[in-house]
Amino acid sequence: MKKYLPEQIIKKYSNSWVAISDKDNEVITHGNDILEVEKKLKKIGKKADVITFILPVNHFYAP
Amino acid sequence: MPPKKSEEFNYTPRIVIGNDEKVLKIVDYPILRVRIKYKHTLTSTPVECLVDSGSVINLFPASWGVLLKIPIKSGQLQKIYGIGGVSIESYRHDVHFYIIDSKINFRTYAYFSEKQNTPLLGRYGFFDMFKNVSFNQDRGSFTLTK
Repeated sequence: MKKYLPEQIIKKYSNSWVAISDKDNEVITHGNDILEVEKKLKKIGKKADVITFILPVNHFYAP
Repeated sequence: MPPKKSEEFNYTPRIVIGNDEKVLKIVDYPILRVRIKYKHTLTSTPVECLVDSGSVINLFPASWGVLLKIPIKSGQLQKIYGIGGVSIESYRHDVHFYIIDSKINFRTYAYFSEKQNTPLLGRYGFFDMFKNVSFNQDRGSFTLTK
């Protein structure tokens, strides 16, 4: 089973895109869309394991 | 060595926070990490995509395509009707998928929309690239079979 994204991250970054490091399970940077997150990663010279969208608080996903 | 015919992926658990700021539920999602390539440009960081049998097509946020310098609105227009009875515009482009933690990669197509957030892997362009896509609730995993 994969690790959970911690509760604090879900709360803090709800409704935004985040770049995550799997090793530390921490957010490297965040933004309003994938493009913004990638630009910020490039600017700070860091690599993330994944970029994902955090759903707003009290929301399930039902596309 | 030829690629494995079947590859199994664990569900990705996500905490859902309620309005009272307490954990409401933990939901397991069938999520894949995907990199996409357009022409000769490959995205550097994988993005989490939801494997969604309810979506007819692959539907991605426009910003992912802009990152690859895809001229979004030059693609074939397709209106998408979804939950809440909302219709959105999307544009088709050919891309190449690379699924992380696997040997699976293939050329396909996806629709990009400024109104879409979570990337969806749907029936045409994803599911139809496999002989079988199965979900196993007991194991907490899903399997893609070529």
